[in-house]
Amino acid sequence: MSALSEKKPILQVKDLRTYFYTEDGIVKAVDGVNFEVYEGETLGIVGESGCGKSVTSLSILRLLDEKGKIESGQIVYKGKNLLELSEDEMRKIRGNEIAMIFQEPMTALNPVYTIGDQIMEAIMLHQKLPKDEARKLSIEMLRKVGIPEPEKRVDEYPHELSGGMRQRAMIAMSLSCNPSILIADEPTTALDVTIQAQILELMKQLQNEYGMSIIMITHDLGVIAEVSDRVLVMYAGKAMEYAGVRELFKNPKHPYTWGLMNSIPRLDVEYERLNAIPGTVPDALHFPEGCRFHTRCELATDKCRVEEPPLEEVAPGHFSACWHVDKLEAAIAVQREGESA
Amino acid sequence: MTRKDEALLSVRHLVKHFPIRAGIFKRIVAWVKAVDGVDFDIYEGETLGLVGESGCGKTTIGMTLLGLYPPTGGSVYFNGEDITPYLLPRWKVRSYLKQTYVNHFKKLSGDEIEKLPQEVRRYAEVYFNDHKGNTESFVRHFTENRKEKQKAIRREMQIVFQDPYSSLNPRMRIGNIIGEAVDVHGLASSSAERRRMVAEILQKVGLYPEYAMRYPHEFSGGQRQRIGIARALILNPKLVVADEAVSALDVSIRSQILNLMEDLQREFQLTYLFISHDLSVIKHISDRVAVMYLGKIVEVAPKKKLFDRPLHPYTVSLMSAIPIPDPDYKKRRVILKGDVPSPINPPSGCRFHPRCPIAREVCSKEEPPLKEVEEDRKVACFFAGEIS
Repeated sequence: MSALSEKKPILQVKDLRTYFYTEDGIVKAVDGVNFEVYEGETLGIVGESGCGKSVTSLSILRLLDEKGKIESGQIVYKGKNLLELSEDEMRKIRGNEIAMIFQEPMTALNPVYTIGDQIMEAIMLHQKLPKDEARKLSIEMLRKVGIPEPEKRVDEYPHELSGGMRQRAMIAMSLSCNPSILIADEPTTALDVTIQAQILELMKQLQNEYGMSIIMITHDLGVIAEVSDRVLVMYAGKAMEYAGVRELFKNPKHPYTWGLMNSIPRLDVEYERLNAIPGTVPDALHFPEGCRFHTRCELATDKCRVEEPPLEEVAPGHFSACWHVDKLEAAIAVQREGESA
Repeated sequence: MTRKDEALLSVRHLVKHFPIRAGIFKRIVAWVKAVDGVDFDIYEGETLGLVGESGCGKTTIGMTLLGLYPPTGGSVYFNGEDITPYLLPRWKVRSYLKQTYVNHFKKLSGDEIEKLPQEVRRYAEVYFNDHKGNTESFVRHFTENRKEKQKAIRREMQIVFQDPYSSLNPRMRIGNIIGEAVDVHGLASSSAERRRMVAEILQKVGLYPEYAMRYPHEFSGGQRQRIGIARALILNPKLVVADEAVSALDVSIRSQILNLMEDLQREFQLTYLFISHDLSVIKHISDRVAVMYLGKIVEVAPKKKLFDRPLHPYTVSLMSAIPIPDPDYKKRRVILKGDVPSPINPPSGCRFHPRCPIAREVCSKEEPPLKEVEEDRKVACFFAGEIS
């Protein structure tokens, strides 16, 4: 990961806390998360539903609804703290410098406007281009993302496109202003695997071409392994582990990450029985005291129940929030020995 | 897994088309060919994985087998018995029987009848011996006590649905959701016995008996899926159709449910038809796997053979498309071009040919039959095994 340190971070998130004030109480959806996004690289954020990965991305763009509030922290983009900008200044960043694509392109696209209208809107707003040039650029973008017959498709409505084509149109729209960061929130979850492979390939190819950074949010460790350079593992609003992708998959240093990797049946390994993580994800209104994972962790001790472990560097460039990294390493060594035997 | 020679469930040429209606008279303007001539067998105690992408017809197969959609064509045999007459609406039973059996039998000589597949030959005996070749009497054999027979079949075949949120009635207590089937089939003689049965099955799926008094919204997704499984198993069925039963769950919960389903299979000697789009789940749970594409089965084989060396180009590309959670894993990618075509107007010849990397002229003209290429293994491709 030496190449990583030479690059400079384009986005730094420091101690971000986003809480939701609901009728039932305070939901600490994101509770002190730190990470960096480097130029031209992909940060993967992985976790299960309710872990705060989507709220993190919405916080970066300040797109929270009225119940959600960013309590504290900094989001530094090119030297500016986004949380201190006025709404007008923020609008110039959204879609223009930091763009986002969503899981379900059918709900993210407006059904009563054509694909072309929606792409042109962003181009005309941010780049101040006249309409005919904006249209030309839209067609160009649609061609770039591999939509056949873009001259015809530009005048079609979202419902006339298939799921994969809609996601391509969304990508065309988000890249039309040449953003420096693209946030992709589960962009392939609603798609079939063969279409998912197409979209991931397209995103990698466009990243090479445009040199943008990507924040890839997903629950799928397979997707993470395929596209990420760096990975942030989240659980119950907290960062559990943060490392380069190779390092993370080779030497996981958090029991949650290890548990997740174990519970996916791999195609190239035979299992008698799957290793499941016991229990369920805790309720967001009542996260456990101490380490939030201790209720499901096999290595948990009394210390874990009381004291929250900080996210600390346990190996160069590898951060983990666990009191028992050494115990985990021993357990992994035992399991791997068993597997190879 | 013990495998008997006789299949628990056999499906022959199953067809299910849905009409598309339009205009003020709601005329039928087209047909969605969701399932278009499918054959497979499930043996007792095994798990058949049915895998394919959205819209390939895998859910439709499950729903048709359970009689939730009447089939458009084909036959379904359960325990060697033709249950199609009970899946069809009553007014279609007679023409089905005539077409499938009577007209056929009349033309055949005794020797030819001997050569018929076993499941059909059985009905030749019923027709000629029990009913002395009287068609009306033969039809009555299937229409008498229709309701009771339908009920008996449904008791043996149950389903677990994908979405644990929409498949449980939010206004019913868990005990009633699970116990409803007990009432319908009259399995409990008293309410105390019913309570005992519900409590027992709740424990079997890893929940507390006290939960019977609660409502669905009080449970997490994984717990709800356990409730769905309990509801299916309380009747002690032989066959359980699991339609994307773990797809809506988080990975850490998914493996719990998969383990539970395997434990229950062993305990109750269940046979599973496990429908999923997720090849890694299919690989883990199945004994044999059938791969579907656009209403057809393109490949069916024992799991190990299929995953070691897929023969159909669609299976190959499906497998290579799965992201592997290992950044160092090097693989050869076969990325398919384009989208799945519409099942309203499927491509001519082999339905996969417009996206197939090895398609030739013959593929667009002739449809490749699903034929045995090795023992236990069928593939529908003229050039099977050319890429793998």
